[in-house]
Amino acid sequence: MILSVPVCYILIALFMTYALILTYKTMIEKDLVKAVIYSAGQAVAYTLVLTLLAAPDLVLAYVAVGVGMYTALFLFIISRTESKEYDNLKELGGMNEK
Amino acid sequence: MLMPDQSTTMFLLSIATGLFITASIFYFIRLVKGPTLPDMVLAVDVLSYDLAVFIIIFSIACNSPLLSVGALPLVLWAYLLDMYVSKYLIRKELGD
Amino acid sequence: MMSEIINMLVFYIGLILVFLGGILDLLAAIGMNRFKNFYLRLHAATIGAIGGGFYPLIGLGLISLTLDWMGTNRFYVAGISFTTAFFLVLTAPVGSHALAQGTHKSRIVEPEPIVVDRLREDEEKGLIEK
Repeated sequence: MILSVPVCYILIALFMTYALILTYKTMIEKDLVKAVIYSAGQAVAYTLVLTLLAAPDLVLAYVAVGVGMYTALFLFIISRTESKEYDNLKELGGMNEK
Repeated sequence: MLMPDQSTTMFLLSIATGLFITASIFYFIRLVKGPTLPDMVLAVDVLSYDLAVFIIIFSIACNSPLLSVGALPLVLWAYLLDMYVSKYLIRKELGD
Repeated sequence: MMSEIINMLVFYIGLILVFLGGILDLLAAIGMNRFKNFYLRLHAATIGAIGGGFYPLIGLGLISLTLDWMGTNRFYVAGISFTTAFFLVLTAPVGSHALAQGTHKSRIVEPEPIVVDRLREDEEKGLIEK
């Protein structure tokens, strides 16, 4: 029990770092499907952090929303439109001619 | 007699946790630099199975069964993530 | 006396399963980084799912059944652990196979070291729908 406390601190710090890096990758990613998967990875990393901070009720809601519902809704929306993000409108090309 | 006491048991489980922490670092590297979409989904999958192990170990260390509730939904929602992505890859639409 | 020996055996079997799972998980993680292709990384992910998820959960359930200082809480923890292990071994191979099927049908990864690919030939002949 004495030795298990620093392991908990290491786990919280490590998985908070994972979540930070995955959030940054979600922001700068051009492919929208990959961005959704990065966001699902961030939700998975937050699961352990919330458990280590003794909030298992938040884990149930966070996993269901962050991994399940969020991914399903965004993949549904992306499948109806395009799966790519454009910097400016000139790259769209022939979209205006239709 | 030969059963180790509480602090020794938690020390051994902490050493086992170190192995899983090292493995999760490698999985995270594959998740960040994965060249294609299925690689990243596979990495998220295996990372979530590791997290279930972490949650059970923490629940044993705290002697509280309420903390281990999150392990089962984590595994089941990771399976559904696989299903969503494979259905998106096959049909390119997720309607029905 | 007899129950103590059984307790000790169950505890050490669980500890061996946990450490074996940790070593297999580390090997799978290294293999995940060193393989070149998605279809090759699928082998490493299988070891990571069964060796790194199923074995340690069974081992932790066996360990928590024998710990006297946990009181009656050990049965709850063991039940959750065994249930998670059961659903993991049920759902992880199905998810891997579904992902491989989706990758092969959408053709975003070429199966690189390959001799013959009957499924793709049948798709090109039009025997099965794409």
